[in-house]
Amino acid sequence: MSRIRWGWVLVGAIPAVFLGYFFVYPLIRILGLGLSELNIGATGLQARLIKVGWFTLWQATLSTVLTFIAAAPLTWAVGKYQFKGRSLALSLVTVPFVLPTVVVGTAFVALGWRDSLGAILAAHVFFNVAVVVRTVSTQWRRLNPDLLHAAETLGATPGQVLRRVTLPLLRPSLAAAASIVFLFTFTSFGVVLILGGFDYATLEVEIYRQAIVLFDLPLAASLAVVQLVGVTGALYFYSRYQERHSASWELNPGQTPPTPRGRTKIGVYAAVILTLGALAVPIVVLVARSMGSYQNLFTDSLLVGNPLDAIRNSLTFAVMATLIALTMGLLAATYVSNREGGLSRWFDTALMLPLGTSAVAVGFGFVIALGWPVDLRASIILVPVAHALVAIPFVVRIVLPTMRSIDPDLRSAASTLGARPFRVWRRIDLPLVGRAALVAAGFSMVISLGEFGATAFIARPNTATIPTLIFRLLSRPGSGSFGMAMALSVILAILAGAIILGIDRFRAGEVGSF
Amino acid sequence: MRIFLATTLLFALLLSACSSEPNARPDVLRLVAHESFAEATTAETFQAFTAETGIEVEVLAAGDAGSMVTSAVLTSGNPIADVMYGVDDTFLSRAIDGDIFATHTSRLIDKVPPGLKLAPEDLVTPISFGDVCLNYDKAWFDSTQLHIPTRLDDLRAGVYADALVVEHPATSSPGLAFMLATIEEYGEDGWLDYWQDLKSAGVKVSPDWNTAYYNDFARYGGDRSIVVSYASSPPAEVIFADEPLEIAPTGVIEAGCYRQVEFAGVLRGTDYPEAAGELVDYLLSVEFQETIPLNWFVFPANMDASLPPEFVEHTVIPESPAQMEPSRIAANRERWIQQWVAVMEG
Amino acid sequence: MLEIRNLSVTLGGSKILNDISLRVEDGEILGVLGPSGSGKSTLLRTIAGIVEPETGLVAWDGIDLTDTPTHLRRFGLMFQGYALFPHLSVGENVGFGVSVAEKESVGEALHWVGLDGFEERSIEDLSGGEKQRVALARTLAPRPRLVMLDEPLGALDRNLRERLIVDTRALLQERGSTSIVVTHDREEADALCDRLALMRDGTIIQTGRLDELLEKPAEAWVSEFLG
Repeated sequence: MSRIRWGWVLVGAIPAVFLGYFFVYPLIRILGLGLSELNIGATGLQARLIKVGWFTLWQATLSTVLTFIAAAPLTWAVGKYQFKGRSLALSLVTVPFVLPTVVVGTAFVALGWRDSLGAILAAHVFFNVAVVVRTVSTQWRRLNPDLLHAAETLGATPGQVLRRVTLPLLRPSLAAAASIVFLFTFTSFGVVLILGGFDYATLEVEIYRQAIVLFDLPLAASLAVVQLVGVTGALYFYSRYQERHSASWELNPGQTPPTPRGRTKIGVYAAVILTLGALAVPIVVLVARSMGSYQNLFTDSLLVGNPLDAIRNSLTFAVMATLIALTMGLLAATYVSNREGGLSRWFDTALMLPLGTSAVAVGFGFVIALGWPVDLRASIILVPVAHALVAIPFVVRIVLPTMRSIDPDLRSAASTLGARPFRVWRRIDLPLVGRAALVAAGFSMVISLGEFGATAFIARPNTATIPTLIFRLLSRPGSGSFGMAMALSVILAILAGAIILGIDRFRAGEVGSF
Repeated sequence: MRIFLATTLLFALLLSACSSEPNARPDVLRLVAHESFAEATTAETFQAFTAETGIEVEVLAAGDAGSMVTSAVLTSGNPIADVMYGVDDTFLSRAIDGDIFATHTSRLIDKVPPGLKLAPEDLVTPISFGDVCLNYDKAWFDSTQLHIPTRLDDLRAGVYADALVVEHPATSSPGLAFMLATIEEYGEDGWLDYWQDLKSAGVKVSPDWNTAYYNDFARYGGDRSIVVSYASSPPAEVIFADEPLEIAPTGVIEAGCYRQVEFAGVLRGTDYPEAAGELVDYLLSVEFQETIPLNWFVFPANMDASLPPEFVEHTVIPESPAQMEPSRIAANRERWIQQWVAVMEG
Repeated sequence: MLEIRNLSVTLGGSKILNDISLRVEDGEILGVLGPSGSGKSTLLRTIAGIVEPETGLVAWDGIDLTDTPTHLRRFGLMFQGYALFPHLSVGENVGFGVSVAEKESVGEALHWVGLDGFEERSIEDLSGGEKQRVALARTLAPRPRLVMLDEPLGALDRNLRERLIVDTRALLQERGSTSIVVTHDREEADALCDRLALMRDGTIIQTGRLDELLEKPAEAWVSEFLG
């Protein structure tokens, strides 16, 4: 009796095929190749796996907890209140997210933080505060304030309202942010390499050492599997949790959030200034070191690769990656939020996997797998595709809570009025998730702009992007080179801030009516 | 709409991929190289080759040298490019064992000094070499009145070891080279004792060259005055200085240098072995070789190529740098690194 | 003519509709009356194709529509909470189911419900009664062959309800729409509908005009409920 809904099959199939071809298939090929030669009994193998795996797990957990603590005040301020400078604060907090690891590492080292667990944790917090602030505050703004008012009329103190109403309602986005931060820190590579000294190695660092330096592909593959298993477990838990707790509550019916007054106002501005101030410290170091080098950047005849070309290339890739990530992410989120059952849940989990998978494994997977049916291995398309793979989980995580909060009757109503499923999606889902989709687009662009690690493994036409040019400058001696690398990093940071600011502005004007 | 856009793009790629005829002379040759080579190529790099042969060169970047060789081994016989540039002696054995090269003997091979020919001439062609050497900060030596070390043994003394930063051999190419230099110097029996002494006297280990040079080296505000870098670093300091410099602020210590040689080869499975061979020969031509120092900060392998003045004035080419058989490196690298780690991190 | 035969629906493991059979003649207004939780809304959703039945069929003029997707059935449904699209204006809501060529029917539909000139208004600015009327206009504008109203007057105050009952009935009759109206209110059902179906626990207990039901109740519960 149950009929197959081909439209839904298609909605799910497009992102599934994309992910299958560009992610699952290469991964299976490379892991299969590595594991076929694995000798489980090799000496010390298990002890090494356990040692590295355990460190990876607990530092990621600790980093996630610390990131939430650091992000809490600003999330509260921009989530609950409307105030002057709010969207600027939201844009600025995103800036650390794009800085190349090596540049941030340099800034932290300049501050004297080095060779310690503290430096690793601080850098992880620095990079990831934006994830928590942006993901959670977006959903906070969409809560129906009447729910909170209702709790107040029932005699709840502000603390009780937060604990018993706001936080439970924010669970989907809290879980989303936690899972993303956990994954980023679980798979951390550059930060650990530069700031951790050699007492600390994450699985990702160890995979790199084994695969590239020691050419022990079997061991590298087994480490990648351990990483994948850990990530899948964490993700499965999160997606179950999210589904169980996501309720359809009413959208905010258009009330503007309150403007803070009196002591609250002081608190809001204190949260903004202290958080941004702390994040600014490493950036100030960068800016100081970049002074005087901006002119050289555009006049240095030995600088191979024009910075303007690099900026153009970076922006082109960012736009392409964002289009791919939004298309795939929105389709996937639509499928997951509309369909129930195990398949949908597994799909939801699988969508997050690219975030938690070894870049080394995926990179090598590309070169052995993507020769068929068309040889894409050296194609320029792989760059935006790789960026999109990293961005899709963000799109899904950001958009899904909003999609799930849409009253399903709106879709049914559209169907009874004769709208085909695609039209329902275009006229109902898309505009209602527009705000969240724009946030997701901003994140995607920023991810693409700053991405360096994953693409370093992709053979590609030599098209310099900003991060590769920074890397190039940093790999030659000379005070001029170093200054220019810092200058270009500052330009990257400004560019990212401007994009986010632009999107925040655009979104306020365009779909700010509900 | 976006889906259509993406599909259209894919189809465009599909069409362009199918349009070349096998065995004809190619319009484009692909050269895969490590990131630091690829990032420094421009439209002019292969202009002369294109003018001469009518063939364009597309450069593909493939991570660092290790990643490049690993992925080439994984795709052996079905390569993503026609020519590979940038395999160094530390990865050469892996590349040759992985059977990634087709035979080609360069017509210019006689211009290469015998010391650089570490592998069969009909498989790979030496294109450039660079010496990993200890660099020192001149200002520090001036202020402390210490004499500049002339032997590796000098560094055992606390005053030097405590001023030394090296890169980790497992994550850094110069770090590995310097470790190999100590093995050549002290042999299997003595090299670990040497490192034990350095460790006791306070040597610092950094994960990579960037961090060691730009964060730890005194020239950039760090607390270390001797760093494992390259013989070409002092001229680079002059060329890339903020303010014009008369003399280099850093110098090269001739002891403990290790010579890295970079090779190019025709990849087995290319559709255009003949044209690919011509490209390898072009890489060894005087015309190209003379552009090498200022673009990649290594030295040309062709003896006829002349050096830019900065390279003559501000550095030395060590007379007898350490070198090691690629097969010996391949056979022992993992064990050596593990032994090194056991001493330094134990 | 709408025909429903042996319709059963199970949702989340519990049986919501149990073997329901019904007919609604052309132009007839059928009231479905029952206590809350009796499955009335699910019945409308199943007829509309939003909920998939476990067994049974839904047919129009003898053609089985059970496997026809919602958007092809041309059955209008006015939702209990109205389900007005918050991001669209009144005019865009009403015009949602209308093809571009028939845009004038938006004004026409708004005219039926007495909201001339409301096209540009935002949904958020409407009062409860206005929302009800916009929802009704949106349901009627595409001229569906079956009109289903789910608690159409449920949330409104008494004065407004009495007026809208009259208006709505007049509108349905004037257009000759075949209709089903779900309500839990006896008076509302009686005033709006030609014939009633009494529902309890997912089954139809009895159908007929109000006076028939009061005269010959099938079981004691009927007179108690209508009491």
